Amino acid sequence: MKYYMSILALILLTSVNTANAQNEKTKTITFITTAICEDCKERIEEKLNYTKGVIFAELNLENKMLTVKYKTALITEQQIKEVLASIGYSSDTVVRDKDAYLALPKCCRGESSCEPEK
Amino acid sequence: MKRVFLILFLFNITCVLWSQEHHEHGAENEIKGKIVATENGKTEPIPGAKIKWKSDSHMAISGLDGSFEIHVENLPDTLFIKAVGYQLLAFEVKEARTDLVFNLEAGEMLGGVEVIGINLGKTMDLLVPFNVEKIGQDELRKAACCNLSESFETNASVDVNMTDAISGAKKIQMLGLDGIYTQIQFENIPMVRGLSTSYGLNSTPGTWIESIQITKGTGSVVNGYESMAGLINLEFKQPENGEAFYLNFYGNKFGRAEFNIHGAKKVNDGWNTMSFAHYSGYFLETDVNDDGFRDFPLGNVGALLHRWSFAGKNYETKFGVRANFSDQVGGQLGFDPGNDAGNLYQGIFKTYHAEVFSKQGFFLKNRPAGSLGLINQLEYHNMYSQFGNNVYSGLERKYYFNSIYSDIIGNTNHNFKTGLSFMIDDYNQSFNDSVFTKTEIVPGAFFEYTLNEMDKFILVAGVRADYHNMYGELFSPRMHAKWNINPKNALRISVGRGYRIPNPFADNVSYMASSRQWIVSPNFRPEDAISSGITFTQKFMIRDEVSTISLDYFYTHFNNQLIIDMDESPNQLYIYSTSSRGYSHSFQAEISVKPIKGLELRAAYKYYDVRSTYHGALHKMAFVPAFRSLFNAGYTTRNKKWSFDVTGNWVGKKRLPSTASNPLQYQRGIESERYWMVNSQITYRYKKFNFYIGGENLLNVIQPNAIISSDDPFGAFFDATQMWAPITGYNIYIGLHFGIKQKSKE
Repeated sequence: MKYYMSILALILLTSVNTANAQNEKTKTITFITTAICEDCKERIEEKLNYTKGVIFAELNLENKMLTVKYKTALITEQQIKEVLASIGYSSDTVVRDKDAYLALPKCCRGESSCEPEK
Repeated sequence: MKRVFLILFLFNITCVLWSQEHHEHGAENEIKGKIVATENGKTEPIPGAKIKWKSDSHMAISGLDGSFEIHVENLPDTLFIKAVGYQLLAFEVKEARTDLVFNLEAGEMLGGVEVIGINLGKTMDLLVPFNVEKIGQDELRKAACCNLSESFETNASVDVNMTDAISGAKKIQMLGLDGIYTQIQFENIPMVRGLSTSYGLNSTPGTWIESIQITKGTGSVVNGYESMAGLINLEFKQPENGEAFYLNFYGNKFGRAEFNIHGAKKVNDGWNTMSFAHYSGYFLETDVNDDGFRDFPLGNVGALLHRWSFAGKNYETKFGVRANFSDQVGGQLGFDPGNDAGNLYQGIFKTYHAEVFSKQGFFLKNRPAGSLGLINQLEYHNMYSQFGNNVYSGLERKYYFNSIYSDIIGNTNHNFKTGLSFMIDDYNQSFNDSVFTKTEIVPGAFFEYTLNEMDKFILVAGVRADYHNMYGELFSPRMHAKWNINPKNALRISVGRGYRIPNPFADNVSYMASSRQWIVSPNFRPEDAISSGITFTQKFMIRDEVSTISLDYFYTHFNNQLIIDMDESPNQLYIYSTSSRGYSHSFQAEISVKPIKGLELRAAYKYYDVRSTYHGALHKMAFVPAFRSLFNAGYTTRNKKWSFDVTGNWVGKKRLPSTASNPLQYQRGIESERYWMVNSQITYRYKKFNFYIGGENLLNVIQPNAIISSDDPFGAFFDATQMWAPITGYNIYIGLHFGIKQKSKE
């Protein structure tokens, strides 16, 4: 009986702990970016969706707002905006990295049309 | 007058300034703010920006310091801001404030009011006069297999069926009519016609395709006289924006393996090239339904495409070569062509196809809206098909030319296209002991006029005349009209005449999988039909996402039709031309909704009534169900890493040709059973990789005793062509895509 009770306690303990782990806080933020076109959307989403701590990152091309849902224990809002800056895009509070910005294709720098040819 | 302002603004971004209007109203009905833009780190005011509410026609203009005032009747409402050199911006404003700042560079509104993007929906396709549905990359990836015949799994307008139980070939149906009445092209160049009709869909790899455009009813006269039930145009991936490197592997439960590789490269300013290679085959002998016959022919299929494009100031061209081969062995288990004692039913399928194509576009210096396009294609096709003792071989050599001169008359409301075409098509066929040769020479000319009233009403009227060396004049006038009753819907009407020169053997190779005696009439008229249709499409918004309802009805009337008569006798096949009554009524209703982000639900319901006259009486066409429906649910997670897709195809009862005169064990019913065909796929994306696993025919529907007389394949009653349901049961497959995009131009 004692043996059985300790197994049960162990199971309960681990399940409570995992439940706690899943109750980890998540936050969703939305902010403006200097993205311009479909190419920018793909770059930003691909970079952020594979950044540790980010649950999803979605750019709205109509108003250039980026929505990010993330785990607060793994990453902060500031860090997310810094990742964005590192690939060449500014947000409302963090300015883009100049070299990364210059490495972007012309249409993502606003220097030519983003419309696909033909 | 105010209504006109509203319409003009909404349809024309660079609207003309009529007057400034300044309202003095109470503070609670006034929005005040400033228009600025940040450039090179400095924020400057923008004078002269036009500000307007969606629901109102009054317009305000920002002053020298960027400030503006605009009256508002009701909030929330959408505020449009347009300044020269910046994109049109739209903001939803929920409360009246006097301290708003709109930054055009960042597209941002500062001032504490929540910004919600307005998704105006993809209204482009509401503008096109032809009833065109487009299948893009996302759709093609939902059901990842494998060649063109399998790319319509989630589309309601094109039905796919197996042709016979021996060759593994598939064919399509549109409007309830056989796939031969649908014209298929790649980038407006003919394909899957002539001898390629039977296996052409199977030899076009799905990974080469960028998008597919499906038009129901007759197409434009520019493309020729051959579309009657529909027109399918493929766009292959282009060298300018194709992947720099792409790889795909696929394998399934039946021992089918597919391998695709392609890559595009920019050679220098203006020149781009792309090469594609495909290899596939079935490498395991399977017989799931235990009838002694291989479920799929063993052997291999290969295909290559190599293309170039050049884009200059006044000239552009695309050209390339395409080739494919297939060498497959089917028939009874154990059959080996190198060791053929003659007692096992043979299935041998060989195809060799090569073609060269080019498209050229010239832009005329003195006529800015004028352009001339030239299309050339040279094709060689050699095929050999053996079904038991039926041996068919064919050789086709074809040259095709089309020219299109396009220009405006006076202004862009009036466009026209005109041109000349020419085709010479030489066939050399043999079926058992008979030889059939013909050379078709068809010059043609066309003229098409397009009226465009502000994109709201478009009328396309075309006339076409071809002179066929064997059948004389073929006139195919066509008309398409589209009217946007309001910006969210479209009503389309089309009427047109189409022809098809029948190839009784090449079009019907799959019927050779039987012991039926072929009785083919020596004289044919071209198949001739008038197809008319009406389509209504309505878009509506559910929580910022666009949903669509579409209804269509098509009526196709045959003036002359080639009848494939399996009803006269189960042991004979009669093929003859008739001008007696033949028609197809097709009705389709489709709804697509996106109730929550990432989820798309689609349902379509189809009704067909297709009849032809067989020896004196009007009969329902065999193998065409009266009712069909399609259900599809697709969900993608917000981080785009996972996608789940389920498709259900419900197929109603089909009339079956009578087998009443056969011995009892070789008789079948006069009507098939209803069944559900369920497919599903799960896709996982990781950076540049895309893994997928899926299943087809998950309810394991198997047509019972599909092959008639499978125990005596050389007997008089053998028939492997009476297919009305899947015959191989469920399928499980896995695969992966890997792709690296080209670096964009610097």
